[in-house]
Parts: sequence; structure tokens; C-alpha cells
Amino acid sequence: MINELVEGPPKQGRLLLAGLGGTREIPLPELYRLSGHVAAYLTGLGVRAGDRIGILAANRLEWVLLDLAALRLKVQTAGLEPGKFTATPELRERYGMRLLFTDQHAEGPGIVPITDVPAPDGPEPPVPPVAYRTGDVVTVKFTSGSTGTPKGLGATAGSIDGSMAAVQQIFEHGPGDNLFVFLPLSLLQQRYWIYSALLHGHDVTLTSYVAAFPALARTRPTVVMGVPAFFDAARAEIERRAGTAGPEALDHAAREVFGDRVRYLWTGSAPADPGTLAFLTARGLPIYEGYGLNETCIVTKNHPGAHREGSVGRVLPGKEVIIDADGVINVRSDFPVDTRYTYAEPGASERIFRPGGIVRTGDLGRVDEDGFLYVLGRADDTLVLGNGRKVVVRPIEERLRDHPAIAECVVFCPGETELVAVVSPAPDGAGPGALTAHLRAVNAAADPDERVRRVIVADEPFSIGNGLLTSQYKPRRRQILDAYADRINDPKEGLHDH
Amino acid sequence: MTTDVESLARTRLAEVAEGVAPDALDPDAEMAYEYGLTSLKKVMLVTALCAETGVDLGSFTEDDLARLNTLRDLVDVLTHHLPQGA
Repeated sequence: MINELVEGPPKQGRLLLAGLGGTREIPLPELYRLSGHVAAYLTGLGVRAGDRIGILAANRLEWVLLDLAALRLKVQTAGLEPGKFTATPELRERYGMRLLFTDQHAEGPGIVPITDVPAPDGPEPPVPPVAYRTGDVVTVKFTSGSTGTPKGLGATAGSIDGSMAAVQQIFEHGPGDNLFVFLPLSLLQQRYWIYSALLHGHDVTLTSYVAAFPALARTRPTVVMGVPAFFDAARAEIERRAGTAGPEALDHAAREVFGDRVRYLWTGSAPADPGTLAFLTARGLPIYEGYGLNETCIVTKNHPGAHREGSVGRVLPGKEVIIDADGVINVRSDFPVDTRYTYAEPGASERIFRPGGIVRTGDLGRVDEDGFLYVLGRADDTLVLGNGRKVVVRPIEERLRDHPAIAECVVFCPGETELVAVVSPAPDGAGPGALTAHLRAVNAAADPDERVRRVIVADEPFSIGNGLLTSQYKPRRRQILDAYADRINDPKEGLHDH
Repeated sequence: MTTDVESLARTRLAEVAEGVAPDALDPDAEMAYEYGLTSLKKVMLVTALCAETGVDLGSFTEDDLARLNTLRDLVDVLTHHLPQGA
């Protein structure tokens, strides 16, 4: 598929670039022509096949052009998520990038303002043909690391082709469709929809998290890709607009929010609220959950031809789900994303990548008699914030626990807007002043998304006796959440970092 | 703060901040933390208020939205962009 994509220009389709107040249309043949100019520009900067370029910027036309140009030159991309990374020469060196394109104010060798990427008129300059083999790494993607430093892994051409072919088989995107993309293009899966448009002749709308809702009704997509928090917010907005009126008003409000052409909604990456799924489906907006990790790509997906409520769908072609003796979901791929991390702390690859193209996900699950996968428990140390970003809480808890007054610590995310820690006091605990100072010190060294806003000191230490520790002396998250829910949810409770 | 815009903004924000009456909203509180206004909910709030006040949503950049932290910020910026004669 990637070979097909770089072979020549598409015949039809449009890229719609949607901002808060307006939309710009670019025919896909024109997009392809521009990518040829960008390929020549990269070549002029000394970039060659086998090199890697980094892109650290919000969704924009230049992002798409750099990505396509790199594909056409067989140059690897590294998609870096804004908010998680800062453009520095050190970042460029750490991830082996020849050039780093960014929309941040940054200077240094090899750092290029993304606004420098040209989009000239005129016929496309010649771009030498390239061919991908299934094991060639096309791009480096990043995933949350337990040390707070993102891990990087390559994505092979075979894994991208396999995933896109499987999705196309079940959803049959084609002319007339308009796929709506607002999550960062640094996430490879979001770029799939642009590749899909080039391959299958449909439209694709590119916008941002912030502009997504205003852009929806204006661009009238047929498919919307979103995280569960996005669809929860959409449901709340539909209910608000409909007020106390009946189902007809809800249907009308749903069309106001999503436009009038939606054929389905796509969600995944975190457990979805069954109430929201049912609500949207009842509005004529069928929504399909799926399952996959960065390390596996898309594994299962509900779709119009095979959908079972509560499940994350059947296993896609090219994938196999094996539930091990501990009930953990293992995924085998015909064409693995990769067989180890390219960048990670020692031991990280061995914990998840197994021989034979198998990835041990850490999530618990079961497969029913008809092949539908049910996720029974996600890896419980990962939270998804309202901005869609994932935070691995275990290292945060470890840093907070590194204080003599704290015996145990569990971090929660009430309302998806702030992290709140509940700590079990040590017998010779320090006073609130020392704990607040410790909280400030931990936060000062943390990324913005990883800062803990409040600490609630438990009334009594967690113990097996009070049901807050397991027999293995591990904190029981659910029980701790239940015991301290009122204080966790009250923004005035606890020791604050300000 | 301009009374009409403020009144409208209070009403809409109170719908998000469950259990808080419009008059009880603190104009200088951080809306994200005090009233659970996630970034998505903030966009929805601003979109609704723009529609109701006649303010062009296109007047805002994404950075402008990111800087709206309090009810007072919200009312001030909406008032600034109100159509002439409104």
C-alpha cells in the first residue's frame, strides 16, 4: 500500500484544513504535487534515503507535506507530539534526526522552522522512485515510558500496510467519504487516514483538538475518529442543546454537532462509557470501539458487519489474540510493528516484546465463542487526560513515595483535568508543610501533564485489614478511590501545590 | 465585566460546573480546576457563547483559547469581540 501511495498522484479527493473560523480545501492531486516540491527541498538540505527527520508541530499543511515527501524519498519520520517534547538540539541528537522541523520558537543546528517548508506553484520536480520492503521502518513513533521519557519504536511498512488493508476491508472508505482527523498527526494512526484518502479517493479533514467541534458541522464528515473523552463531551453538548425536549430534539442537536452525513464514529485508546456509546448510537451515530497499542497497531475493531456491545470487536486479519495463563492479552502479528523499542530504558523491550512477533499487552481480556474480544481491565497504571494525552502514573507515584512521610501513594485523575494523589502516611509522618514542599519538588521536575495538583493524606495507613492493600501489600486502587472519592473529587480538599 | 455577557457566561459555565449556581461562580477561579472545564468543554462553552452573542469564533486563535483560564478572562474577551452595536 505504501508503495502504491508513493507511486504516483491520486485521481481525486480533497484535504480540508479546518481552523476555528474557516476551511481551506486542497485537492489531493495538488497535495501530491506539493509533496514533490518538498521532497526536492529536503534533498536540497542534504536529506537522503535512510535519514530521519523529526516533526514537532501542531497539525498543519506542512506536517502533511513533510510526511508525504519523506515517504517518497524513503526518509524516516519521527512524529513528536507537541506538549510532550521541546525542540532542542539535544532532542534532535537523542533520536538521530538529521533535521527537526517545528512550530516552536527554537534555534540550533538542524532545527528548522516548519514555516520554511515551501509550497510553490509550478510542475512537480522529478522525484526518484523508491520501493519499500515489508521490514523497512517507515517512521518512529513514541509511547509513554515508565521513567517519564517516551519510548520510541519503529513502525514497519508491512505493519502499516496490514493495518490499513484490514481497516479498508471492514469499513470500505471511498469517494463520498470524508474522514475527520483532529488528534495529533504525531500519532501514526491519524496519518493513516490521510494515506487512506490518497489511496482510496475520499476526502479527509484535518483540524486540531481545539477546533474540532466548530469544524465538525462545517466540514460535514462521514467518519469521525476520536478518543472517548471527545465523544463524552459531544454527548454533553448534544444534551445541553436539546434541553429537556424529547428524542427528536436530541437527534436534531446531534446533527448540529456532528453534521448530517456521519456514517460511523471510531473510538479506542481508552475504555468508552457504555452510556455514551448507546446514546450516540440511538442518535443514528453508530460508534465502534476497537483495541490496540502503539506496539501492536490496531488489533480488533467493531464495525457494521460485526459488532457486539461491550466488546472491542473481532480480531482483524493478520492479527491473533492469545490470552495467556494470567488472563493477559497477547497479540501476534503477521507483520509486527517492530520487535523491540528503538529507544527505551533497559529491560523495557523484554517486558513487552516476545519472540515470534508477539506483544504482551499487560491488559486483561477474554475472547467469546464468536471471536469478540472483551477487555476486562486495562493496564491500571495508565490514565487518559481530558486532552487525550496518556499519563503513566507508576513513576509519578514512585517519585512521590520517595519521602519518609509517605508509605504508599496512588494517583487518580478526577474529571480528567488534574492529578490527585492519595497517600498512606508513614508511622513517623512529617507535617503538611514538609509534604507540600515535597509535592512542589516532585512537580518541578515533572512534565506539565504529570504534575500532581493535590495530595490527600489518608485518615489511616493503607492496610490489608482495612481493605486498602492486597495480600501482596499492593495498594487496591478501586477501594482507595471508593474510600476517598468525596475528597478526591472536591478541588478544595488536600494539600495543594500553590 | 459586561453584565449581559457575564450573565450568559455564568449560566453556561454553571451548566458545566454541576452543583454550582451561576451567581456562586468565582470570576477569578481557574475554570479547569474549580469547575472541571476540560479543554474540550472549554471549546464547547466558547462556541456556544459565540453563537449566542454573535461573536465570530474565527476571531480566536487556539492560543487565545488556551489563555482563557477564568470566567473573567472569558467575559473580557467576548466583550472585546462583540459585534458593533450589539
